[in-house]
Amino acid sequence: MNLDWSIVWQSRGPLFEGALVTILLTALTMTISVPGGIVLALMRGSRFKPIAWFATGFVELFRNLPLLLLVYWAFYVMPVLTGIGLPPFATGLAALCLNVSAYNSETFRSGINSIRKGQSEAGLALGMSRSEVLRQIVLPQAWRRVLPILASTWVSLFKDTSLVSVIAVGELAHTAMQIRSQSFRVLEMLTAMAGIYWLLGYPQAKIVDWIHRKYGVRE
Amino acid sequence: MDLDFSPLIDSWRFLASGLVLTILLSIAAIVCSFALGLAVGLGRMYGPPWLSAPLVFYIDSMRAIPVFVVLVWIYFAVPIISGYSFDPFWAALTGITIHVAAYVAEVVRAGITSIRKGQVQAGLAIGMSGAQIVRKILLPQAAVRMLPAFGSIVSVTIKDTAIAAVIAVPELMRQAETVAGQSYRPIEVFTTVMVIYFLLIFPITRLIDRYYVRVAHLGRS
Amino acid sequence: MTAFARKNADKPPMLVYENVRKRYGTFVALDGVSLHVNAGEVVCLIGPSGSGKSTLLRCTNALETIDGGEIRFEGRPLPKKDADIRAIRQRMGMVFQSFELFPHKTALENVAIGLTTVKKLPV
Repeated sequence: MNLDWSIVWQSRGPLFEGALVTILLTALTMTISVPGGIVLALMRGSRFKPIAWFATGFVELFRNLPLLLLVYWAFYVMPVLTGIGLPPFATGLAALCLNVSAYNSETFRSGINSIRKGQSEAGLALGMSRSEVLRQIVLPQAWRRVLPILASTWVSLFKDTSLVSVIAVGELAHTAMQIRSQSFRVLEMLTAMAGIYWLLGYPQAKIVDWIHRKYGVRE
Repeated sequence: MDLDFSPLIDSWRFLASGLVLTILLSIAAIVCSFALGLAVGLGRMYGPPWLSAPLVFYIDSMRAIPVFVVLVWIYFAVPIISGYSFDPFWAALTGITIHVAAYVAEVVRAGITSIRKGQVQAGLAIGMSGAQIVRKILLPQAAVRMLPAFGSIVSVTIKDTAIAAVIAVPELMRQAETVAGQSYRPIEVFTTVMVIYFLLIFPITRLIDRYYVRVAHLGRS
Repeated sequence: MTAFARKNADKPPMLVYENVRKRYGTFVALDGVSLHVNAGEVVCLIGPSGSGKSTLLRCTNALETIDGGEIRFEGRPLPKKDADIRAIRQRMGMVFQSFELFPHKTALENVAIGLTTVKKLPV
């Protein structure tokens, strides 16, 4: 077994770019999926039944499918649906957004439902409208419960971006696997890939722990 | 858009064998990761102090590293180090187990620490030993509280088996890729496989939710 | 009788319950409750758990809808439309058994919220 770890240092440029793409994918997905999740959660609570059912179906569908399958499916279906050739980054982003929006809507829904009914009734008893109750009473209390979960979702998403490597999106996993194939330095590159994810992910996990400690609600 | 589902009908046996392997891998991964996770969680809480740091390192590392990376490393890198060549299935089982067990360990720890200290003191007061308290007082109550988290871990594990496709385990996802590639009908194939996965995963998560609603009161203090 | 009640004794009752019925599934919570409450009167409803005290109060400000009979406030039956119910609630005060203070607001905000948020009076 002869190892040559210099390949890692030599590839630091592409690896760094790959890491940037990973971060970009994560940030973009969250930017789209947090509002997406809120919209879905509100749709589920709608009094107009077809909207509520559609939202529930959407959420249950995309929560109960493997992300890898979604990535492939989006890759083949989206060009047909939209009629235009989309870059892999866009289809990967779309698959991630569908998945994470569904998870986020559950997060918001459970956050809102965790506020005691008496609180919203007290607001109603004062003569507030339903939307005033939501804005003034429920959401200000619910965000404390929602924030730690969104933080955990961010970290999971960061790891899940590795799956879009299968449709050749140039994020960290794909870049590392490519260099591995080209250089035949399998052990070195795979270990470097794991190491870089560890370096990026470990602090994020610790920050999530801090958020749980600071903002978490203890009943 | 002309759809042609005939490749699916022609290859249904091929896909079915993939489904069987998915189910097998899922069950094996769930059993193994829960066993390992329980051991790690209890080891972290009740084990010797020197064990705590390595276990925490292991758990936090699995929170940082994707399953994909773990699977690929075990399948491609371990043979180089050990000279032992892994069968893809066992590589996948090992990788998924190691990854998921870390989450199980965290759920176990959170569940046990959520039980009021008074319960432990009550057990001590009637003369129970530490092990008895854990077995008879803490774990039964914690088990109920941990059920929703366990349910989501089960769901995630089944979904993770699809990632085994990238190391050529012939489970459902991999078989679907093959059929889609050979038939040039990716939309029909992947849409059908989506339905299959949904029918596999949705009832399980629903069942666990329903069961939890029925027993939730047992875990409340 | 308070001075306020004496002054309003000859006016029509402020709150009228007429044969009010409320069911939860097969459980009958209110079975034909009739009551007049005049302005300035202090009325206590006393009864064992489950006798319908909270239910009657919750029906009064339309947190629950009744299945039979009528509730009249200031001479008019309780409206059905959301906007009208809100207007009624702004004229009724309710304190909950569990108090339901808003933990994310200061004490002053809690006391003033009806006026600032609902009636939109300047702070």
